[in-house]
Parts: sequence; structure tokens; C-alpha cells
Amino acid sequence: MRTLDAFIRACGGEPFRVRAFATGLRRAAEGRFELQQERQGGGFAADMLPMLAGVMLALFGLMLALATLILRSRPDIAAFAIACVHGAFVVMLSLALAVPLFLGEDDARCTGWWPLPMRDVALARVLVVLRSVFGASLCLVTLPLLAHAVIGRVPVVSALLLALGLALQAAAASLLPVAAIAGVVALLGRRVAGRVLAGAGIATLAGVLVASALAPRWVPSTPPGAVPGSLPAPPPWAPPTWFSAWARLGDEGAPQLAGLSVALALVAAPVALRVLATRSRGDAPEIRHARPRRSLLAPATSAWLAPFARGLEGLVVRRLWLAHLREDARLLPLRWMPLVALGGAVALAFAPERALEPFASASGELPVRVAVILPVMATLAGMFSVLAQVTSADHAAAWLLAQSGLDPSRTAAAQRGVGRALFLAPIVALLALAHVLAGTAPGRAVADVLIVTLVFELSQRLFQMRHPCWPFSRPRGAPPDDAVIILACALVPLAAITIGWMALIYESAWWGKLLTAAFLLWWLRLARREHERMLRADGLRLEIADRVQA
Amino acid sequence: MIETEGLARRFGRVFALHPLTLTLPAGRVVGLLGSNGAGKTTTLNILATLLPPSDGTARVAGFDVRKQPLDVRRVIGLVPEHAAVYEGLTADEYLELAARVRGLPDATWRGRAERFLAHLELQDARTRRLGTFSKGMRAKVLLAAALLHDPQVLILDEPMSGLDVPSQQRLVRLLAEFAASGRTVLYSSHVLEQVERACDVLVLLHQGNLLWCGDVADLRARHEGASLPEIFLRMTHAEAGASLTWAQLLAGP
Repeated sequence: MRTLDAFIRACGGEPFRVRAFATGLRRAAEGRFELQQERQGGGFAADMLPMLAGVMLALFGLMLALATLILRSRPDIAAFAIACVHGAFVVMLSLALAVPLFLGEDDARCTGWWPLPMRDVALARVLVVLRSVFGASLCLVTLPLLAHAVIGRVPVVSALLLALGLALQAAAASLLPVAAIAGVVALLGRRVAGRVLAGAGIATLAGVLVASALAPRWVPSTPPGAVPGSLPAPPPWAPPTWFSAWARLGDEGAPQLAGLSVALALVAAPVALRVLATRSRGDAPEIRHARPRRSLLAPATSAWLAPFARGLEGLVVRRLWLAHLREDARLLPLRWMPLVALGGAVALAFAPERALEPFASASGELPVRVAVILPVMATLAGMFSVLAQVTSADHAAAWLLAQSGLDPSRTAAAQRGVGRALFLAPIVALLALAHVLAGTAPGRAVADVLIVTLVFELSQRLFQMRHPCWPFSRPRGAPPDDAVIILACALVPLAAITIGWMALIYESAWWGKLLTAAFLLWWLRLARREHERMLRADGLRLEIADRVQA
Repeated sequence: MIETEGLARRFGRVFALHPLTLTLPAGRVVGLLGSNGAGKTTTLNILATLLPPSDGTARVAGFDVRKQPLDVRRVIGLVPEHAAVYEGLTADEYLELAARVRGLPDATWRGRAERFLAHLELQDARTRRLGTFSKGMRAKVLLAAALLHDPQVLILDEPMSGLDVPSQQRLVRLLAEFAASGRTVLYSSHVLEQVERACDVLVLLHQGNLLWCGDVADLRARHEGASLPEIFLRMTHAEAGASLTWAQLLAGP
């Protein structure tokens, strides 16, 4: 507790207040989950969820431990791999936790008039993030560290030192992104920061997509000067090398690299936090009254959505989407999806088949990886298309829809139509362009487009069946229920594996695509029949009706 | 206790509040009255440091709202009209959070929270999550949170909204006792009968301008004992009977 207080003081906060607020935020999140459970009845207990997430992380850690054992002849590479996976995981988790905390308006609505300096609010949010990150990090690295205890250059000692390095990494890799988000919010304000971060997120996604597609072109088969077949040493410029250097302190240059990790974790992160927290000048937060601005993209988006969601219900759903696209930073990346898809298509089409390609095709046509990646993207896109239009900060306004006599079935169809415009169309364009550039036979290209479309439609149907509610009618921050977690954790990877397997089949046999399409069509017909029956019987749900129980 | 000097607020070209100069003494329950868009909530938000003024100064309990916003927040209790609460917290937990971020000692806030909840008839619901509370129950919890640190100034925006009649009467009594102990209550409402019952000083705003600031008794004496709604209509030049009929509204005049 004293260390924590010292850390808070070092960042310029008041420990008592910060700890109290952080505890309140954590309790509020737990309570919100329990409340959701009480309303829906059944499901996992709130305290089961961290346990479930811990088990899944431990399973992932087991895979990492096996990889560590396979690399037993090169413990430096094994430690580097652990640090790479751990670092990427911590950055992603802390970003996922910090973005809603810093960009959401829940705190401002609930405590905007309390005597809490912005710095204390920011630090409390950081504590909430750090607590979750350290817990998850422990679940992930325990098994790999045990494996490293066996293979390390000095058994056990190497693993203990690596554990220290990973703890430093967890601190640095979680604090730096959080401090960056806090800084952007402090500098630009919540609304503009939301747009900037959404743009940065989509640019990163596009960058990763393009880079991963082009990687085979850049990576030489054998590093210069290395024995063919041997693994190169970890690059000294990469931060994971600094944190993994703790496992090989006896090697030449390793203590200096370990020193860099200490500098990054113990100096850079708190200093960054302190500087960024100071940006808020200790003032109390105030309600910002931004003047509404005319959006240039709104008319274009509206025109694009119109053919996909027609009729009265389509008009209503389109208007709601546009209103939310204007205000909701979570949805802004959707506008950039076509650009990302275009970049990805070009990158995928031009990326050569090299030794790193796991599904290298001998056909000379479109790489099999495109046929694997795009149906997986379609599965995820169908899921996000439905989930993105479920929650809203203005959820209470959805009573208007429920009272207006709109047809539930046509409303759901309009929502799916908007999903097609925003997600499916860019994916299909991407696939078609890739096929054209690869010079695929038209029959094969049409079959691929058909499969991607069926996968997307099926995914949308299944998630709509799970969330039969009016558009944007669930409160923002309502935690996903257990079914969504199961779907996200189990169904999506399962679908990816199935689709990957089918892609391999239909690349090697003419009946593969036919079988895949027939199976998806049969499943879609079943889902469609059941979904329509549900909508006829129960309509769409309005959750605000049972929110207030006097 | 509350002093403003040329306090004004603009939103773009629109003046929500024209330069306002007034002094509200301690020990009084002050009613803030006005039609929709009169500038009531803007005034309250500026005094509660939620909104910076475009011009002028305001001091609450001696602290400048622009230069010392955190000090102002420490000495006021605020119940906003559309305040959100952490729905996942119970009433007990919410009050604990409100007390701890204000640095109240455990012994102090626990006793007060228990008494406030009992007084507001929430003792049976104290372990229920706020997400299950009705509008009136949430208003009571917000009121308890606003009073927990024994503020110098209590600012209430439509506090009776959602409260049942016994609770309203209890609140009126509580406000009178609060003010009698040398503190100030600033009370904004559209419901003139409630203001008449609860307040002894009135501030009347119309289209961002100050029409009256003084005792209710003086105002009534000046208008020969007319009721507050009558005085309000007279001063704001609103003609109650001038609107269109239902048939005209539907089909046009």
C-alpha cells in the first residue's frame, strides 16, 4: 500500500482520494455486471468471469510454454518470444481497458461536480487498468516461466530474473499507452481525442494488415551471415529484447539492455504520467459545450446506406446510424473500413508466395490465405455489425422506436442491410479486386464471394438472435453476457478453424467450395427460419422497461 | 454567501445569461425562477463550476468560481436535474464513494449516511443497486450525497421532481432547517407553488435577464398580494390565454 501511495504521490495525486475513487470504479463495474445478470437471469456469476478469463489465458500460456520447451536449445530466443507475446498482450489489454475509461462520459456524468482534480481521476483510472493488467499478465506468463526455469542458462535463476523483467515490461507496456491516451484527452478534449484515437486505431490496423501481407517480401530466407536454418539473435533495438535480457544477464551486452528496460519502466512511464497528468492543471472537469459541426462524410454515408436499408424501418435505422456515427467515437472507424479494405486488397494481391506462407498454393492463382482470412474477417464483421448497434449512451431514447409501430422483422432486416453496406461491401470489394489482380477464373471468384457473403449473413443472423433488441437500446457499458463471451471465445476461433480447413479442401478439390457453400446455406436457412419465428413471437426487446423497479 | 458581478454566458452569438449582478445572503432559501431558456440552469452550472462564465465574476462562500473551482466544489452540495449515478453501486457504496473522495473520516460519514438514508426512507433499499432505483429514490440518494459533507451552500435543480408528497414536505422542512443554521440554499424549479412554499428569497430570470431579486413577501406586497403564478405571468409578459385552440393547432388558424 505504501509503494502504491508513493507511486500516486510521485505522479502528483492524492493517495487517499485516488484509491477511494479507483475502488469505487471497480465496484461499480462489478455491480453493473451483477445488475445485468439479475435482469437477464442466470449465467455465470460475476466472480466466475475473471476465473474463466484466467483459465483461458493460462491455456494460451501453456501453448507458449510448449513453444519455450521446443526452443530449449536457444533460451534467449525463448525468453524473447515470451517477452514479445507478453508485451503485445499487455499493450492491447491496457488500450482496451483505458480507451472506454478515458473516452467514456460515465465518470463525468456521475461525478462531474465532485471536488476531484482531473489528475486524481486520471490516476484512479490508471490504477483500475494496472490491476487488471497485472492479474492477466500473471495468468499468461506463469507456465512459460516454469518452462523457462527448466531450459534457462542458469536454471530457475534465469526464470526468476525473467519474471522481474516481465514485471517491468507489464508496468511500462501498460503505463505508456494509458499515459498517451490520457495525454491526448487532456490536450484535445474528449470528443476530438475520440476521433483522433479512432483514426489512429484504424491506421494501425491498416498498417498491420499491409505489413503482414508484405512481410514475406521483406524477410530473407536466411539472415545474412547466419548458418542456413539457424535462428537469428533477438534484435537489440526491440524493447522485448531489453526486458528478456534479464534472463541472460551473463551474456555480453545483456546488462546494458536490462538497464534500458529499467529506464523505460521506472523512469519513462511515471515521468510520462506525471507530465501528462500535469496537462490537466489540476482543474476540476467541466461540461464541454461543443458547437455542432457539419460533417462532410454524413451525406456520403447516408447516400451509401440508402440502397441497403430501404422502407420506413430502413430510414429510421439509417438516421439512427448517422446520429451515432456523428457522436460515438466507437463507431467512427466504420467510416474508414472501405479504405482499410482497399489497402488490404492491394497488399494481399501483390504479396508474393514465399516460404513463410503456411498455405502455399501450387495453383498459381489467388493465395489460399486470402480465402482463409476473408471468411474469418466476415465472421468477425458480422458479429461487430450487430454488437455495434446494440449499445448507446442514448439507450433510453429507444422507447420512441418501441412505441412507433415499426415492424421488428423489417427493423432487424434494415440493421442487417446497414451491416452489409458498412462491412460486407468493402470485404467483397477487397476479395473481388484480389481475384482480378491474381487473374482467377470467374467461377472460382464467384464461389469465394458467395462463401464470404454466406458467412457474413450467418454471423449477423446468429448474433441478432442473441441480441433481439431495438437498435441502440442497451445502456453503454452493459457488460457482455456469458453467451457473448462464449461466442467470442469459442465460436469465432472454431469458425476460423473450420473455414481454414474448408479453404484447404476446396483449394485441392473442386467439390470443396460446393460443399462449403451448401453447408453454409443450410445453416443460414435454419437460422433465418428460427430468427423470424422469434421476431414474430416476441418482437424486439426494450431493456429500459425493466431498468427502473420502484 | 453567493455574489456575482456582471456574470454572463454566451453560447456562440446567443446570450444565455446577460450580465448578472446579485448578492445572496447566508441563512436563506433562495428560489431561482424563470421560463424555459431563462438562464436558470446556466446560472446554476456556473455557480457549481460546471460551466465557465464568458464574462464577469462569481464567488461562492468566498471562493472564485473561475480561479478556485475545486474549493468551490468542496463547500457546495449539488443535486443536478439530470445527474447520472453509478448504477452498479448500492446506495451505501455510492455514499461511501462520495464521502471518501471528499476525504471525510469513516466515523463521520458512516453515521451521517445512516441517518440521512433513514430520514429519506431509504434504509430498506440501502443495499440495493442504484440501477434498480426509481427516479425519486435516485434523487434522494443524490440529495444525501450532496449533504454528507455538510456543505456551506446547497444547490438544487428541480429537486422535487419524482419525489412523493411526504418526501417533498420533508425536504421543504429540511431546507428550512439547513438555511436556519447559517447556510444558503439555491433552489431552481418551474413549479411556482413549490418555490412559494420552500423559499423566502426569489431570483426571477427572463430570457437571460434579471427581473427580480429580493424577498418573496416584498414581491407580493408590490403586486398587491397576487399569487406567485400571477406575478410571474405579469412580470414575464406571458399571456396564458393567447395560445391557439386545439382545433386551430391541428388545422391551422
